[in-house]
Amino acid sequence: MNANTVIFAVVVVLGLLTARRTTVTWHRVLPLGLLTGILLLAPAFSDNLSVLTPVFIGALLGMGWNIIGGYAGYGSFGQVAFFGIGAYAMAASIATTENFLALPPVAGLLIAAAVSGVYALLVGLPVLRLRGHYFAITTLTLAIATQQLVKNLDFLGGASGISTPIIRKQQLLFAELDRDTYFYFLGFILTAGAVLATWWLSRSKFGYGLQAIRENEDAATSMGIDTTRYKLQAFIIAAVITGVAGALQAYLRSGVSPEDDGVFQIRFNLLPLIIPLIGGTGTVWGPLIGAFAFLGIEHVLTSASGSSTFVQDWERVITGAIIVAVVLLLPRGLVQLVGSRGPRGWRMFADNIRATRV
Amino acid sequence: MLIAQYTVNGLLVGAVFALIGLGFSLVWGILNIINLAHAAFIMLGAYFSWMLVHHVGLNPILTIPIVMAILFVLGYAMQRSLLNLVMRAPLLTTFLLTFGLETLIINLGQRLWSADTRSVPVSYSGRGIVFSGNGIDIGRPGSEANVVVPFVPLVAFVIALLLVAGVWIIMERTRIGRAIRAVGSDITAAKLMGIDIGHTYALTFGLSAALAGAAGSLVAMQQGFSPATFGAYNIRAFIVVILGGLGSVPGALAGGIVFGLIDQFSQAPLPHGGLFGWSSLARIKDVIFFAVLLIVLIVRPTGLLGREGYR
Repeated sequence: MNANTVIFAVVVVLGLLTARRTTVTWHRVLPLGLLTGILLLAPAFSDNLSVLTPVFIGALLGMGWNIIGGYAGYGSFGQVAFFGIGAYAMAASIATTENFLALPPVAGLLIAAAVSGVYALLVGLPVLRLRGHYFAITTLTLAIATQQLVKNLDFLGGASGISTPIIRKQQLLFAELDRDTYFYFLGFILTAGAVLATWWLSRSKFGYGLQAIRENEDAATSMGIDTTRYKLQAFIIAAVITGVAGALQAYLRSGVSPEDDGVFQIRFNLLPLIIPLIGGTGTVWGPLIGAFAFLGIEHVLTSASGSSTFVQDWERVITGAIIVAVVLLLPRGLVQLVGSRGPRGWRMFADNIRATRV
Repeated sequence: MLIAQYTVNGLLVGAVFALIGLGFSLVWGILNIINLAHAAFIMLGAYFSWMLVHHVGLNPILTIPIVMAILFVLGYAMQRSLLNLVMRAPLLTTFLLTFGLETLIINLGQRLWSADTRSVPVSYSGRGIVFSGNGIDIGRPGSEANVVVPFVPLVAFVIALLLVAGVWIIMERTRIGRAIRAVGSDITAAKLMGIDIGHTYALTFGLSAALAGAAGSLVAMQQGFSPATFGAYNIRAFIVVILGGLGSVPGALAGGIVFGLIDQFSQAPLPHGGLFGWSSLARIKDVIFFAVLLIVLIVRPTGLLGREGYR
């Protein structure tokens, strides 16, 4: 049991308490304050801060998917396309080698967000005309097509990708930070921004429109919702958040590669799905909880096995098993555990299954 | 004679793609599930074939019935124990469940059989029917060959067509086929006629898995493979079904052939020394498939021969 394991567990518990349905305000504000405090102070007592930064990347991936898949009900299976595009835009912006722009990282992040958004606009126009199965598998095709296209464009480095400078020390806001702390707080700020965006969305007319589309698109149209515009906006917001996650990945790893172990790897297509699924789709806190829960499990397995190859070898087998188990037993994710309605304990699992079987 | 050769190759691989698409189309049309574990079944078929050839010494063709039987049982059990539990859930749930199963099985395969490239040796590989200026010959193609019909893909072509025909007979001429079609067109009416829904779903899924297994054996005979090779087959199956149209055996066949032709013709060299430094479009094959998919879905969403549901 190391300090990071404790942080993972505490964040999941506090996240669930924050997500709880309650009418008493301080029942939510207190856990939220504690959650923020823990995350801000984590660098002080974490035993290895570089374990926590990828959790923010995972949380961003989950939050991006959650907007289009969770709120609008358009389950995208190709978010890795936007992750990769964002990562490439970032790398091309900050790389100092010939033909690249050598811009400061903030400009890189903005460019990555813009490029991912424009790509989503171009792709979304035709793809969002499709529904259900057709949408899902077309986005899956999009992911593969995007990787292949990027890999075969020579001005993006072709098969070797793009390398960017390694960061050792960097100025963030007012302080000069060492590498691990810098990336941790950068991830924290971006994640906090995404949480705020989702929170705003969940209470806005736009967010209710998306949920209406999820429940019944034809009914939403007849209620006067411009479904095409809403879906496209949601798709773009999702892509921007996902692209920013990709940009952070490229920045953190000092570059991008188009190969199957690079920014287009299957892992980054699985994380956007599994993280909201574990935490709870269509909720503000679900993706954050899911990221700390799922990557926490991976962290515990890594620490327990004493070598990192165990998780590398079995990671996707475990991921697959977790997806199957969660879909069957807890389709509404961990937040269902703190829901105010319905039965508790084993009855809850049994009821979840009984509701959908033939 | 490049065009003739590409056409021959396209037709030959097209039949195997038709077989892959048919199993996918059955489950989609009857169960309304996009089965992302289909590629995993193809992988299992390929590896079971490989094991039977390597450890038991069977002829590759004789492994096909055994592989189909194993995959049928596996598919039946999977539908009965897992997928039947979510049949009334939203589309996203079944999609995610099969996505999870796919991830689980493919990566389990990677652990069991390693990521090394395997192949199933066939004694007559490399030989074929050679059409050249000197007439028709049988053997290895030489430099004077115009068009070659290679034996191994030809055998795969024939087996795939036989299996497609077999499915057509099952669906159209047998009691089980009628029950499957009944469940697909109206589940309540089918239930009232005394059809066991859970059992029929499982039979359909088992049949689809068996077809995927057979396709896996046929793929294994023709190319080297590793577990990661098979991930792309879900999308191929989907495109075949979209091209041909959901819910008919002839549709799957037409879709498979068209897909095979696109697949082969994309390897044709580009004029004027290529585009962006690409000598042929094969390097961006998946981009082409994505474009074809979008165009067909938007211009003619029912495909070449398709209708709603499975009939």
